[in-house]
Amino acid sequence: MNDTPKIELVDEQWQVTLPGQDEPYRVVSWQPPRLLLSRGHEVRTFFLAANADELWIGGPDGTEKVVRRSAHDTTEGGGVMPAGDLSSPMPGKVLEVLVAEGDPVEAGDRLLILEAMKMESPIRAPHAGVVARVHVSAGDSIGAGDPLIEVEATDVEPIDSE
Amino acid sequence: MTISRVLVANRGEIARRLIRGLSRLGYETVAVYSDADRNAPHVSLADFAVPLGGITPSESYLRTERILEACRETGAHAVHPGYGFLSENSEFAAAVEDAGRVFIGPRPESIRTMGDKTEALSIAREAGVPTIPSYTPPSTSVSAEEMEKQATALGLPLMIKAAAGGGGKGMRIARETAELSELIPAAIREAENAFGDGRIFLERYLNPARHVEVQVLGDGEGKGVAFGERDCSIQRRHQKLIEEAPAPGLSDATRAKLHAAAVGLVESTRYRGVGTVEFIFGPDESFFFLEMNTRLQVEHPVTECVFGIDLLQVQMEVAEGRGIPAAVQNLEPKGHSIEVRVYAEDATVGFLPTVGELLEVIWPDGPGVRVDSGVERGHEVTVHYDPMLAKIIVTAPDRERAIDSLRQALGETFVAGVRTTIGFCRAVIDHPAFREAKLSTGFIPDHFEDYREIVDRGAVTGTSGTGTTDAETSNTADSALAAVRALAPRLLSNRGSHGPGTEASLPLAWENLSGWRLA
Repeated sequence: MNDTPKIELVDEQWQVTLPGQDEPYRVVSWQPPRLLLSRGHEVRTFFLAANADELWIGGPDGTEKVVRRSAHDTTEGGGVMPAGDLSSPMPGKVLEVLVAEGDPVEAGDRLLILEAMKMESPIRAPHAGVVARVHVSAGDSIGAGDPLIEVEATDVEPIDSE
Repeated sequence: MTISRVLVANRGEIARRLIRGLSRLGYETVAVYSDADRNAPHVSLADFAVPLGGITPSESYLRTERILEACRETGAHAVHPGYGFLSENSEFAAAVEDAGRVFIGPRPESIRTMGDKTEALSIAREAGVPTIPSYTPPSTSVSAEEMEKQATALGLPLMIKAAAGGGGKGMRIARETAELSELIPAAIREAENAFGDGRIFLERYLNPARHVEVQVLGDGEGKGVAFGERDCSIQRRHQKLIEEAPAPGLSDATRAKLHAAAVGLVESTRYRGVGTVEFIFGPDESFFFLEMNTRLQVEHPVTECVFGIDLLQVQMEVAEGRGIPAAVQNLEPKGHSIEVRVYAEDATVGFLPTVGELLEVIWPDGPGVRVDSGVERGHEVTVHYDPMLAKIIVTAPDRERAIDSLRQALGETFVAGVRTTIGFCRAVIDHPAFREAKLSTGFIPDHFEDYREIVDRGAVTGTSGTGTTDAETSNTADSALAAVRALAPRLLSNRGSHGPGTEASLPLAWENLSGWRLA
């Protein structure tokens, strides 16, 4: 696929080639929080910091926050099943739908692939269950918050338990 | 008298600046701290530290008795109140003096009189300081014709304000004489309904207005000096965000008049210590007394930087009875200094205070860069205290270069864990009106009415998008960021092989980016 970033480990350093570009960005140095990327001889410094839920990226033009979206509510004693309604994190395009309604899935299974912000993001099942509804098809353009897929839980083992 | 041990009755960045500053001047220092501030930088910098108990200010930093107890327990000779908290509480100042300690600040009486808006205004007038032309009707039965006559004498545009009003309520602007006959009775009715008190007064309306203040120092014996002025017009809901020294675009004559007015106030009141006389500037460089702050102010660093002085040091000289040092009596400012306040607030959602643990804190440094910070990585930002985390101050030979340096410095800054106003401030200094020094208290409402929209237009980096006009550069900046986003999961993964030096101290595997979104 040539419209997703190509990420490789070359000579023990990570590099990424963005779609439509030939020259990759290479990691020159990664000493948290400081990341030094080069492209050709041009270098740029970024800062990265993260915890269980958030990733912060600082660059010369500002700092952005990326959150790990929890696709379910935490269960509290009473046996309430977590919801598996996955909606789109941002505007983009559906590249591929990998499951059909009725399919059983395990926690972590890839359900569909989105393309957004020049990157490919697989959307994974937050827990084991059955695909209840698929709202989109390959090729659809979607907006942030648009419903994508619903997975009905069959047990309570969410992917990002702490 | 000699002071050798000083208790700093404050927290955050100012406590840190004062404790460090006092240590460097050779004093012993005493920190006080709430339960929430046990790990705060100001505590570890001090020679002695006394826990106050409690978390909220009223349970801790506002407890006069507890602070005096801390003085007794540690043998502190003097108390420095910083700003906010008890710094303008005349009873606190009096209590400190009654306990036989030195209050690093003015006499309690000065704090009291300058803290009273009406008294301050009349003191200013007596000292010959211009005040905003206003007219208060002697009774509610003043005729409409009389009101209109007075209004015309005051000059339009003018504000009709409710005497019992506040917080922007009960204020109307009259721009034409013809409007008065309708607006005045309407304002009286409104005041009656809203406050149960129909009294109104008229005040000249200054628009656009600038907030310009003068840093002063008095020896308490009738001598005073001014250390230039600062422009603090970049404000949001009366909260200052960006300040600079000197104030740009003032004629030498106006500057001289301004300083003379401020010093005149200090000398005629025999004011002791540092203070700031705040003025509001109207069109044509007219200026009027607003109020006097009888303490060291948040934005004092820009003055220190252009004058090459330490205001804490001069405070201590006066507090120890040695008067105004000769070395600071005839200084001229050199260069230009701009300060940006870093608040834990989300500028994209109405500046809502943000809370959380600071995952990382990186400040800029180098010549011409000064950072006064009260936080470090790991600090827990809570709602209990003022959300100001730090100040970034940049000084350069002229204003243009100060703005460029500041932009560079902000680009080297990284605060992760809570949203801050850094991105917003970058957008402000990038704005052509800021570069052209078209400063006014309406700057932010005029140019940043909907910051959220500006951010969205300017891509996701939280800038206005006006920072890079070159399409090529813009593409490169955006694509580099896209590269970082693509690589982040691999870099943060704690499994699999990475390159050298990648022992990630970050706790989590982000190897799948499923269900992530820009927040």
